[in-house]
This record gives sequence, structure tokens and C-alpha cells, in this order.
Amino acid sequence: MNPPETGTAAPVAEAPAVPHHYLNHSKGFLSWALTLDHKRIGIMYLIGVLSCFALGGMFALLLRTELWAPGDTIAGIFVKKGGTKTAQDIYNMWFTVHGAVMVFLVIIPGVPAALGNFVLPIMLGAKDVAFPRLNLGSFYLWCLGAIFFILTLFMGGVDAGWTFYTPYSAITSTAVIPALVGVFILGFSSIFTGMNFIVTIHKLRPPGMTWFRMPLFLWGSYATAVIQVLATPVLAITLLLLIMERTLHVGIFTPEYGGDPVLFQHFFWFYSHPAVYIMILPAMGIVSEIISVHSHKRPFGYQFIAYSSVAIAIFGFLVWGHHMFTSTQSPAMNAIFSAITFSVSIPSAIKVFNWLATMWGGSIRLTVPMLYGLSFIFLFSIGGLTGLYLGTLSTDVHFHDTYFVVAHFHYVMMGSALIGMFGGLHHWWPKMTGRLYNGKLARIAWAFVFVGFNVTFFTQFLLGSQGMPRRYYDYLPRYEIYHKISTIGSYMMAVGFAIMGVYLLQSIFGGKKAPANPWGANTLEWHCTSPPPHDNFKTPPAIEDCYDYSGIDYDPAIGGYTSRANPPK
Amino acid sequence: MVGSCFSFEALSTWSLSLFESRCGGMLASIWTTGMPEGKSNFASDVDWMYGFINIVNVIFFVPIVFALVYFSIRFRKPPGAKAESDVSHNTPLEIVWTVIPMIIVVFMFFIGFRDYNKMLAAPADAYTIHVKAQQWSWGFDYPNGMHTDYDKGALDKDNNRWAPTDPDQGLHLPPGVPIRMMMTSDDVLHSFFIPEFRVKQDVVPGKISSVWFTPDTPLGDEPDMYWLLCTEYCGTSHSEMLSAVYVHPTWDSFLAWQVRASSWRDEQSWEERGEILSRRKGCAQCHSVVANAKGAWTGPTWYGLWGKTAKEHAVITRGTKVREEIAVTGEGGEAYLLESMRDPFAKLAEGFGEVMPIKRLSEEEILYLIAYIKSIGKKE
Repeated sequence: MNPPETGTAAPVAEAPAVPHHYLNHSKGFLSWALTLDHKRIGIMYLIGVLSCFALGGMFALLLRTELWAPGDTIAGIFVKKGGTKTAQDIYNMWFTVHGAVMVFLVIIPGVPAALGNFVLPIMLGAKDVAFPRLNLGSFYLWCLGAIFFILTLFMGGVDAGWTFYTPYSAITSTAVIPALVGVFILGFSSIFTGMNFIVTIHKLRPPGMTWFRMPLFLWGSYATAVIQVLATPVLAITLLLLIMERTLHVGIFTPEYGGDPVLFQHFFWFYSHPAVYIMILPAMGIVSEIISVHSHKRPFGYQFIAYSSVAIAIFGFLVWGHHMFTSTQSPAMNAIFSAITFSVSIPSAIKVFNWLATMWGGSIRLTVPMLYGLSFIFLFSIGGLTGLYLGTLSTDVHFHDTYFVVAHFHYVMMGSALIGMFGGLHHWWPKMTGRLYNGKLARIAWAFVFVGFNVTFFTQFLLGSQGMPRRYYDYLPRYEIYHKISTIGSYMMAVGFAIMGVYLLQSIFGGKKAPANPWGANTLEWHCTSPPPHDNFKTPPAIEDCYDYSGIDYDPAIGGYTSRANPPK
Repeated sequence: MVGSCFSFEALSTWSLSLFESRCGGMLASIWTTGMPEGKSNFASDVDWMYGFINIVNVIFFVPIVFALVYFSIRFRKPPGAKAESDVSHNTPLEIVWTVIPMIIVVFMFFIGFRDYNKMLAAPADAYTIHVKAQQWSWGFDYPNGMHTDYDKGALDKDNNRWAPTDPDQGLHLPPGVPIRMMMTSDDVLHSFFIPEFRVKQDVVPGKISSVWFTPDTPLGDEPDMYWLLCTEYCGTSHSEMLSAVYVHPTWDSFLAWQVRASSWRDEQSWEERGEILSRRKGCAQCHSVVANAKGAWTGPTWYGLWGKTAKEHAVITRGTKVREEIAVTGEGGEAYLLESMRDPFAKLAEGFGEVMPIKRLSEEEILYLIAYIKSIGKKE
């Protein structure tokens, strides 16, 4: 036994200079491509998701630029002379690709698969997720789905809208099938991640961590995973039926073959409404962490927040019909769906009040993650409150399918889900990379994103109440001024995200070393080094109350915090 | 079915009148400025609800933002400082902020539901117009057998406003009576939306959907003009699927329009009638009529189409997919043009997709269109 130890004595002596962690655990392409380490899979997901975010964002900028003025602005440049695709077709493809990429490739996998994969097992004090191979498999399914999307772009694009409403999606001559296959595959990726997280949270919680001692991010992730597993198969079935209809002309959704187009909407929203909660619940989990950690105070009403996540997940299954108030769905169903929709607003409101009460009496530091957390509360409040106009039957008739809806869901999907994700990214960045980012640049970028977002999308509420319909390539001159303001806002956001790209890359290649616990958090991931070692914990950490900040002390020498219960090793 | 929900109705009417009499009327008029001016019988209900939700939202949002900003300043501390409070929950407070929003949303649901019910069944004496939606045009059939096509308008550059091009076409409505739209679609989903009337209803192929409203009677002698917009994405020219809508100030005005609009052919040659029809029926959206038209066109150009020799015009036959060369001249050419209007994909012009919607055209209308096509870019 002794000789090998003495044999490795020299490298061990060097160890303090280059501490061992998951990034330098092994080297080479295959060590990443075939890794079973949840952290590396999370990082790969993160790179993929952020790349797709850039792609989807580029299409958003093209859309906004086209809408700068009525008539053709830039889409005409992409028209091939003598071709059959008009500038309108080009625009229709842009908004389809923008929507599909952002929903299926960015927001749905964003928090659970990218950040969740990295953080969730460490938060549990576990070495990995329950099924590491399934985890890697779901990453490759995500890649395959993304490849199908990219393929779609090269096959002439797809113009059915991300909702793929029939009968248009059944008859359009564009590349609908590769896009549907892509979404189908991404669905499985999402289901596998969900299953993995459910089993991980059930079986790998350490002794002492009862359900109600779990960090709130895990509650959010758990509720999300349940929706992923239960709702996504319905989407998969729907898309298969649509593919059958396109190729074999089986009559399901298209009246020409004896189908019912409204049935498609029911199937689609039966998944896609819960999918909104797949996007928002994990972001809410992140915000619960951020607000508590950066206020150094226990979350107010922990149990209410935890239960409200579950309540939202359950109610989320019962409200899909509110997307269809003008679809010729029966008035009785409209009334029922309107009533249930209002019930979702209650747990959402509870969360906002709880976050505010958490801040009260805290010791608040306005760090970059905290700025994103506060932005989330602001933007989610607007997104949620404007939902009231859309849940109310009489007003929804006017607002349905106008820019009001566009603004509302961007406040929820981008202003909340994505801003939550970026909050989480900045919160866990030092843990993931072991580096700090430039705080000043990060604040400037945040300001651009936050202000730009509101300029872009608040204007769209006004456009929508004026009656501007969605998915319009051209518009009446009376809407021009609002479109101009909105476009300026989108450029501000683009500047913000470009700055973010710069300082994050700068941080990777030359950022200051991050302490193990830069924010003074007490959840388990902050008890291991930054970046974490390959197995997360050498010895199982002591499980304590993860929101008790009394034992966390600031150490100016390291620019971070130390824990009395789990002293650094 | 739902209008007579026990005494909720009485309760809400009472609370509404209480609210309106105290402050609602004034506040609502201040807070509904975001909406276009309401011009139908539903506008007052919808706008009141909009104003009510605006007020509720301000009442919730302002304190949330105040707390957000105030707490961020008041409780901001240097690193390492401990929190002032360690309160973990306060059950009575949490119950209060659960129950209050609950009461408000129940009220909101109920009023929205009540007003929505009024939008459902049209009165029995409503003036019924059949609306046919198709990619990308609207057609309107009136109870006396009259038909008008949509008028998508064009940019009036001098005034920078969108203006109708053909005031006899578009949707014309008589004053002061409930109007019911019976709507069908030939191809994909569309949606009937007039922002000023606060009505919207999808038009679904294979179904008849219906929407009703009573437009406000114009105050002056001229008809009021609105835009009907398609609000369900329907493909390429979705954003051009709009039509002028007129509400006439009197029945006399409405009837005078009917006489005028029915006699549009009287003074026109076949070619001129064809030219007008090509705009009304939407042909000109996809078929260019000038030499070397700019940009991409969904359909083959009509410029110089007539007179093309077999070498110059090829089609793909449906089913067999055989490429066939057709001379667009003589009786054969006329037969080909007629077939292409009735059944566009039987012989599809080479290089184009199966996208042309099938229009309901009468025999005369087809003759006019053929005469027009023959006249465009004629070879001397």
C-alpha cells in the first residue's frame, strides 16, 4: 500500500498551487464529450443554451429592425431574385425561428438543464444526479434537436409560427417536418432531465435534509420536473399526429381530411401552457435563493413559497383553454378556464409578497445577482398583473392575439424566466468557473438590459391595446411611433447582452479567483471549493439549516464568507 | 345558459353601480386612454373593465415597487453585517395577502364573464352578413344577395395614413341595428377583429363561427371608417389581410351605396372590369402586371403571359408530375387560364409552389379576368 503513495508524493506537494477541481480533473475532448459529471454536462448545456440565445436574439433584432417602419425595411434584402419567397415569407420565418429557438432550445432547457444540472446535485450534497448516463443522453438529444432546427434553416426555413397551428402547418410548403422532429426530440431531452431530477431529489437527499429543509430552488426544480414528465409526452403525441397528417393525410386536425383544427390547439396548449411553468418555476426558485442569500435573511414564508410552486404546477395543467377564448371553443369552457386561470394568479402573488417580506429587515447587498433578482420581481409583477386583462373574458376578446399578448408573455418568458436565469448565472458563475466577473461592466450591462427590456416591451402593451395584431410584417402608419420606440429598446438590450458576453469571457480567461463563498450563502454548493472538486465533496458536509446565516462570517482577507459549521478544508 | 347565475348578477350590478357612481366613471375615463375610442355597444363594458383592472394593477404595483426600492435602500448593509430581523413567517399576514387578491380576482372573473355573455348570442333581429375569409382576403355577402370584396387600402403618402382605394368595396354596415357576422373560412384559420368595436372571433375552416355587435351611428353625414384586421396568423400575406369597414349614418346612405356598388360594371370595358377584379379578389398580391417587377412574387407574372409560345411556358401536371409545354394563345390558352383559376394546381406553372387559393369566381368574372390578362404586356 505504501509505495504508490510515496510515488505520488511529488504531485501532491504541488497540489495547493493548482487545486484539483472538476475542470482540470481530466483533459481532452473525450473527457468532456463522454463525461458523466453533472457539472460538465451542465456547462455544455450552458454553452449550447447561450449560443442558441444569441441565435434567437439575432432573429429578434432582425424582426425589430423590419418593424422599424411600415413596408419593407430589411427583409427584402434576403429575397432571392426570381424566387417564390417574398419579404413577408422571410419575416414569417424569422418570427417562427425566433419563437421556436427561444422556447424549445433556450428557456425550457435553460434553467433546469444548464443551471439545474450544475447546482442541483451539489445542493443536495450528492456526488451526481441519480442517472448520470441518462443525463448525458439527454444532452445529446438536445444537440440532435438543435441540429434539426439548424437543418430547418438550411432547408428553406419554416413559417408555421412556433405554435404550429393547423391547418396552416399542415399545408405550408416550408420545412415543417424537420422542425417538428426537432421539437419532438427536444421533448425527450426535457422528459429525461425531469425524470432524473425527480429521482435525484427523492432518493439522493442526504440524511437530515427533509423535504421542508430543502433549498427553495430544489422545490422549484422538483415542481418543474413533474410538469416536464407529465406534460411533454402530450406535445410529442401531438407533433407525431401532425407529422402523420402532413405525410399520410390522416384526418386529425385538418378539415380537408375530416379533422378539427381546434383540437390541435387543445393538444398543443395542454403541453404548452404547463410549459410556461416549466420556464418560470425554476426561475422563481433561483429568485427565492438570490433574494434570501443577498438579503442574508431566511426566506419569509418558506412553506408558502414551496407550496405555491406545487400549486402553480398543479393549476398550470388546468388552464390551457385560456389561450383559446376566441377560437370557437364553447362559452362554458371559456368561463371555466377563465375562472381557473385566476386561481393561478394567487400563488404567483404570494411569491412576490414573500420575496418582498424576505428583504424586509435583511442585510441587503446590491450585488449583480441581486439586481437581477430585483428586476425579476419588478418584471414578473408587470407580467403577472397584465395577465389579469387576458384572464378576464371580456377584455381578452380585445387583447387576444395582439401585441398586448406579445408584451405580456415577453414579460413572463424573457423578463422573468430569462432574467431569472441570468440572475442564476451571475449568482453561480463564481462557483462554476472559479472566477469573478467585472462588477462594474456587469452593472452597466444589467442597466442596458433592464431599461432596454422595458422600453421594448412596455411599448408593446400600448401597441396591443391600440389593436396592433401579432405576427404582422406590415402595419398601419398609426402604429409606427410605438414600433420605433420598441425597436430602439431592443437595440439597447442587444448592447447589454454584448457587454455581458465580453465580461463573462474576460472573467473566464483572466478573472480574479473567486472565493468558495463570495455571497455569504449557506446552501451546500457554497460549502465546497470554487470551482467544486470532481466529486463535489471529499467528506459529506454537515447538513444544517441552509437559510441560517448566523454562522456565516465575512472574511475581508479572502473577499468571501466562511462557515463556522463547515469550515473550509 | 349562464346569464342567470342566481343572485351574483344582482350583487355585481349593485357593486358596479356603487363603484361607478363614486369614482369609477371618472377614473375609468382617465385610465382607458390606451384604447382606441370605443365605437360599439360592447365598448363601454370592455373599457370599464380595462379601467378597473388598470386601477387594481396600479394599487398593487406601486406599493410593490415602493417596497422593492425602499427596502433595497433602507436595509442595504456592508458585507458581513447581520440581518436586523430573523422573522421566518407571519401566518395572519400571509393569509391576508392571499385572501385579498382572491376576493379581487373573483370579482374580476365575474364581471368579465357577465360582459362576455352579452357578446355571445346575437339578437334575433340582427342584420346578418356572411363573411368569407380566405388567404388573404375577405368577402362579404349581404342578405339581399349583394357581394363585396375586401379593400385592403394603400398608403396615402401625402397624409402618411392608410386610406381605402375603392370606397364601394369593403364591409358596409347599416346604422343602429345589431349586426351579426356568420363567418366561414376556405383554407386556414383567420380571425375577425375590429379594434374600435372590441370584438374578435376566429374563423375556422369546417365551422361557422359568429360574432355580433351594434356599431355606433356616425354623428355626421359621412360614413365612419374602420379597419378590419386578421388576427390569426394565416401565412404569407397575413398582414395584408385587412379591409375597410364603413358604418353608414342613415339607411338611405346605406341603400345609395348598394345601388352605386351594384352598378360598377356599367361604364367599364371587359379589360377594365378584369383589372378591378384582379385587385378586389387579391390576384394582384401574387401576380405582377408590369415588366421586370421588383422582388419575389408568389405566382407567375401576368405581364406578357398571353401570347407565350410552348417554348416559353412550361407547367407541371398534377399527379403524373409530367413537365408539359403549353402555348398561352388561342382557345387552348383561354382554356388553360380558366382551368388555372378554377383548379390552380392541375397545371402548375413551373418553378412555383402550390399556394394559390381558389377564389369563387363567376363565369363573367373569369371572362373579365382573361380579357385583362390578355391585355397586359401584349406583344405588338
